[in-house]
Amino acid sequence: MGTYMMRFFLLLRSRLKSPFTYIWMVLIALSLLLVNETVVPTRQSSEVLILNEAGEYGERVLSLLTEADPALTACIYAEAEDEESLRLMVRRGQARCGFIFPEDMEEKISSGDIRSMITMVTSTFSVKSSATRETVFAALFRVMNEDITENAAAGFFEDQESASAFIRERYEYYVGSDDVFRMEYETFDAADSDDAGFPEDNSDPIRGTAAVLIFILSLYSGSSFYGKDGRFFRALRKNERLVCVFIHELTSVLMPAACGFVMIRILCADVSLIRDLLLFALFLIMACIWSGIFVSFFKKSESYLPAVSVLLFVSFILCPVFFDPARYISVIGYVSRVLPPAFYLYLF
Amino acid sequence: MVTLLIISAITVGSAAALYTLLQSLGVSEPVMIAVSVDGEDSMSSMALRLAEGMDSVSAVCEFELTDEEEAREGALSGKYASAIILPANFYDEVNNGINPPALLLIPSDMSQGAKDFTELIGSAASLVDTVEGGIYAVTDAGFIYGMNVSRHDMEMYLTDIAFDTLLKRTKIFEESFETSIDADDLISYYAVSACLLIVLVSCTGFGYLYSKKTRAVEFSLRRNGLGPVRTGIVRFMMMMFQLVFISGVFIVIIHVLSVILSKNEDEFLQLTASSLMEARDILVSPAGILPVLFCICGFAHLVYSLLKGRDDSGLILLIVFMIMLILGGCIVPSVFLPKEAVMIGEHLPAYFWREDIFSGGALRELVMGVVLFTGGEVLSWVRT
Repeated sequence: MGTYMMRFFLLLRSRLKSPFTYIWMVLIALSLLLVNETVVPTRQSSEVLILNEAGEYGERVLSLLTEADPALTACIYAEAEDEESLRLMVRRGQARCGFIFPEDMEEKISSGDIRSMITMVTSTFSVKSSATRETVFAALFRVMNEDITENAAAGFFEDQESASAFIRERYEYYVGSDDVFRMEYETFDAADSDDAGFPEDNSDPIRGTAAVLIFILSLYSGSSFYGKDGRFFRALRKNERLVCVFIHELTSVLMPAACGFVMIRILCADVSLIRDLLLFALFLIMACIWSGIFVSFFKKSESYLPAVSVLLFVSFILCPVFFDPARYISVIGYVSRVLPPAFYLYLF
Repeated sequence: MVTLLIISAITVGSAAALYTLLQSLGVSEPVMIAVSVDGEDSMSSMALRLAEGMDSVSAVCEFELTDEEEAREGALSGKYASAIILPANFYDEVNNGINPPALLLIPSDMSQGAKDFTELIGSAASLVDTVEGGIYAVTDAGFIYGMNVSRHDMEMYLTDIAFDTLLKRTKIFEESFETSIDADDLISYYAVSACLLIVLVSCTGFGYLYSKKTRAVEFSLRRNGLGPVRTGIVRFMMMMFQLVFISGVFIVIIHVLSVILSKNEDEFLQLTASSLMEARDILVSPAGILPVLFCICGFAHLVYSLLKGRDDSGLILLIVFMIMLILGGCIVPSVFLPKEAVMIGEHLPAYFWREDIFSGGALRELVMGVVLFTGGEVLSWVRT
C-alpha cells in the first residue's frame, strides 16, 4: 500500500511539473465559462418580438397583443429594443419571429398603400410563424378597420362629422362586447396531452462539458502506454499493473478535475456540496477505469488517438451535455450510460 | 481503414443526432382537431376544408369532421387536442348577423400545439368581430343620423371592403429571413460540418509522419538528395492524399444516401435527399473541400513542425482543433456563441475553413495553405 501511495505522490508531482496539466486546467475553465455564456435553444420559443416605430398607432396594436388573455394565447408578445436585437433574438431561436411596424404605418394605411408594410423576421428556427402572422394581423385589423369603416361610411351621412364620432364610439363598444360573434370556451381534463410521457430532460451543459473534457483527458493520458511509460507498466505483474495504471490515470486527471469541480460549484451549485463531490469522485474513478480498459483495445497510438478524438465528439452528442438525446430516442439513454459522462449526468 | 470507417460512421451518426435536435426546434407536428357541425351544414364544412388549405392553419392543425358526442369523447381521451362544436346553420346565421356562439373545447392543461390552435381560432374570431363591429356601428349611426343608402347596400359595401383587406392580408407582411447557419438548411450544414470534422480528426493521427521513431526515413531521404523542403513536401502530400481519400469516401456515402432517400415517397426523406445532394455539390465543387484540405494540411504541417515530433503532438493538435472548431462555429453555429467568443473565432483558421467551404473562397484557402506550409518549413529549417 505504501508503495502505491508513494507512486501516487511521485506521479502527481510529475504531473504538477507538466505544463499540460495547467493547459488543461485553463482549457476546462474557459470551456465552462464559454458554455455558461452560450445560448443554444433547447425548446421552441414562444416569444414574439415587435419593434414599434409607428408611434401611438403601433402602440394600440401592440397593446391588443400584449394584453390578450394569456390562457388563450400561445405566444408571449413583447416589444423589442431595436431592430438589431430583434433580428439577433430571432436568428438565435430565442424568439419565434419578429415584426417591425414602420414609422409611416398610419399614413400608409390611410392612403391604402399597405403592401409589404410590415417586415416579418423569421429564421431557421421559426415555427408556425404563419399562424403568428394571423394573430398580429387580427390585432392590426381591429385598429385599422376603425379608420377604414369611418372613411368608407363617411359618404352615407349628411352630418359626416357627428356620424364619424358616433361610429367610432359604437365601434369601440362593439369590438369589446358580446353583441358580436364570439367563441365560448369549455375546459376539460384530457386523459393524455401531447407532452405526456415525454422523458425528463437530464441535460446539464456545465457538468456535462466538464465531465466530457475530463473523460477525454483520461483517455489521452492512456496514450502514454505506447511510449516509455508503457514499457514500465508491461514490466509489472498483472495486479500491480492494474493498480499502477489506475494511479497513472487518476494523477493525470486529478488537477484538471479539481479545477472543473470548482468551476461547477461557481457556475451551478444547484445540489449539495457533499452529493456533488461524491458523484464527481465516482465519475472520476469510472473514467479512469474506462480509459484503462479502452486503451487495451488498440495496439498503436496512430489508431488510438483518432478513436479518442471521435469519442470526444460522440460524448458531446450522446451524453446529455447540451441536450438529452434520450428524450427523442429513449434507448440512447440506456446505451450512453456506458460512457462515464452520461453515467455521471444521469445520476443527478 | 476499419478505424476510419468506424470514425466516419460514428461522426456521421453524431452529426445526425445534433441535426435532429436543431431540426426538432424548427419542426412541429400539427394537432388533430375535432369539428362537430350540427345537421347538414355543407357551407360550414366547405369553409373548414378551405381553411385547412391555408398555410397558417395547416401549420397548426388538421380538422376531422365528426359528431358532437365523438368530438367530446375524443377530446377527453386525448385523441383530439381540442374540439369545435358548431350549432346548426352556423354559417348562414353568422352571415345574417345572428351570431350563434361557437363552442371550443380546450384541455385545462394545454400542450403547445393546442395553445397555438387556440390562439389561431381566437384570431379568426377576432376578424369576424372586427368586421361585424364596423357594420353594427354604422347601422347604429344610420338609426340616428339617417343614411342616404339602404342598409343592405351599406352592409354589402363594408363587407366587400373588409374582405378585400382580409384577402390581401398576407401581402401586408414582407418576410425577411435571418439565417442562423451558412447553408440553406440544417442537413446540408451538418453534412458539410461532419466532413470537416472527420478530416480534422484524421489529422490528429498524422503524428507518425513527424515522430522521432521514423526519423530514419527522413535521414534516408536526405542521403538520397531530398532536403528538408522536399521532405516537408512529401509529408504534405502524404497528408493531402489521405485527406482527399477520406473526404472522397464521405462524399460517396452522402451521394449513395441521397440517391436511396430520393427514391422514397416520403416527403421528408425526399427533402433530406435534396439537402444531402446540396451538401455533396458544395463539397465536390472546385472551390469546395479541396482548397480547404490544402489549407488544413498546411496547418497540420505547421503544428507538427512546431511540436518537433513530440509523442503527444496528436493530443495538442486535438486541443487546438477543439478550440478552433468550437469558437469557429463548426459544432454550434456562431450565432449561439457569446459575442467575445465569436470575435476570437473569426480570426481562427476553422472559421475560414467553414466559411470558405460554403462560399467557395478557394483563393484564400490556397494562400493560407501556402503560408502555413512555408511557416512549417521555416521551423523545420531552423531546427536543422
